[in-house]
Amino acid sequence: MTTELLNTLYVQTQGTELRLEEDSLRIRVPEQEGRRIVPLRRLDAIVVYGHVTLSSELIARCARDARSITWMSRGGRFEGRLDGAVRGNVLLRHAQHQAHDDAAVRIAIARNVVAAKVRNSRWVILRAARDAKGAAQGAMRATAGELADALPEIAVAPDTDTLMGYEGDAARRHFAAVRHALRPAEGIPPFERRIRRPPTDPVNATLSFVYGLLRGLVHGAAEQIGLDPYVGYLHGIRPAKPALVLDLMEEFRAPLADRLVLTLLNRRQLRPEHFEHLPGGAVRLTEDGRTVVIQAWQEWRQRPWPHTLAGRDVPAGLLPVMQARLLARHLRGDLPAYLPWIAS
Amino acid sequence: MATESPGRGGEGPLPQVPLSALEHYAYCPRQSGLILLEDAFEDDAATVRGTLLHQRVDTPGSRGRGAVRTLHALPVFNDALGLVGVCDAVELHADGRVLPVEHKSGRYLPDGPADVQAAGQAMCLEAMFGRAVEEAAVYSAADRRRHIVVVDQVLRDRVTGLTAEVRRMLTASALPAPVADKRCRRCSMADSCMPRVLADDRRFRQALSDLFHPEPLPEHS
Ligand code: SF4
Repeated sequence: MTTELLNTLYVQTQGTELRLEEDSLRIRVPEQEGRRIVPLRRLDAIVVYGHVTLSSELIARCARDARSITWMSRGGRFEGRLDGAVRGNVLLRHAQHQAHDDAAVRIAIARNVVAAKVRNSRWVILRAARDAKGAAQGAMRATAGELADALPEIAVAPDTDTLMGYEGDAARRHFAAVRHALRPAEGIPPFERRIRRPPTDPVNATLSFVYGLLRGLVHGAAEQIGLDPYVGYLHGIRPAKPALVLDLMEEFRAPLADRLVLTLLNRRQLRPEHFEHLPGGAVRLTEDGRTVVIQAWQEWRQRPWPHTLAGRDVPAGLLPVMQARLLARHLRGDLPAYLPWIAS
Repeated sequence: MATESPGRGGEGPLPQVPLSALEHYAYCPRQSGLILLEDAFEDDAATVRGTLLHQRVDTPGSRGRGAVRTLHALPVFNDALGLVGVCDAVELHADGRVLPVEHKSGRYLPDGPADVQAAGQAMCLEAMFGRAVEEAAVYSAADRRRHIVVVDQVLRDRVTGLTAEVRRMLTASALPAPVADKRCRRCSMADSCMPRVLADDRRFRQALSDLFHPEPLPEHS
């Protein structure tokens, strides 16, 4: 199945072949008569899932035109991305590395990142509590209180290990409260806790898939601004880990990803038939299920959110670019701190 | 975290200043900083129009027209000043006059940034052709006419002064502060520059201190 939405082409059918033909993209889907041609200028980005082949001419052309290509695993895990030549902002990347080596600068950025994650988690939980009743509401409001209580400690955390401890703690509380925000549905077992690689229940499978979409978005924003996606502050430097992308994702996880997952499940847009159970216990979205999520994600990306510093509303899809820019302005010495985005 | 570049220690030639940077710097120092130091270049309608226009002019070569030969996209330089660039068009007149013609998509503003760029071109051509260039021209596509710029001593001093300022900025690798005034409205760099955010220090500090102090729980919902 190929889905073209908002100038992004999503290709999910296994075995699909994409090649360049003049200024167009030719799509051949196995066991399907005929072929589809899409003019390249209509596309800003291509996202492929699993076994999809792209001709090297197509890849090179996309690199030249700065049209991004994102590779996801069949199940929706982010694998890699192409954005064309690195933007030449060497001073920014140099400042980014220097900030990483400066313990005081590094911890200050990391504290703000964790505080924003906690604040935005609290916001999502309080929103969910408004629609809940009785014990569920009480539990969510209690979690919101605990999350707020953690902030003063985060503000003075001495190092990133300590911060990671607070972060993990907040994430556990967050997901425990998310359980109360999910309406029971037949065929979807209640959410117990966050399980990654591989998810073993529908809620976790959806969470993982949406995090993959979010990560692609944030990674693209970092590249666009000219930041090195692999040098982070909270997440440090680790081989093959885009630490800066993970840092910037923290503030967006609850409001942009978790909230969409809650909506899709609570509104029954995702139903038991959208999930497949693999031998050994792993659960993943079916191709139809992924299409439901991708379509919802593309609408979700257009939703405007208030942004205090910008003094106006910013569509969800552009928030990561805005934040990557604010970080760049801090790293280049224009702003005294990195100020994450707080949902409201 | 501004970066200090190592001292030059007097070796080598002056860091070269692009002619186009003079115009940008004259408009707003930060604008030229964003282009030269941060490699930022954001297309907006004005710059795209400018590019289309330049494509027409930028075909290297010459076309004869009566007593005037016109060279297009001519690379120019002045080593004494440390200036380099490309002229949209240079007219070589039969009487020996050399006239640079800079093409602009927008309106012409007397004594504006375009004059500085045109004068810089004239000063390069003087050094290259070994003869005085007392006039330059700015062709405005919006006005559909050519404006003559007299390259007098005042303008020459402006060129030398701005060249030195751009060179200082390049050497220090520090971005100038935003002007944050009505210039920003017509500036294609506004997105990456963020002049409003930077200028509104009070709002930034307030948001920063709010980060760790969320509004209390609503009493009842
Ligand atoms: S937005 Fe304003 S301050 Fe920034 S570069 Fe443009 S004119 Fe200068």
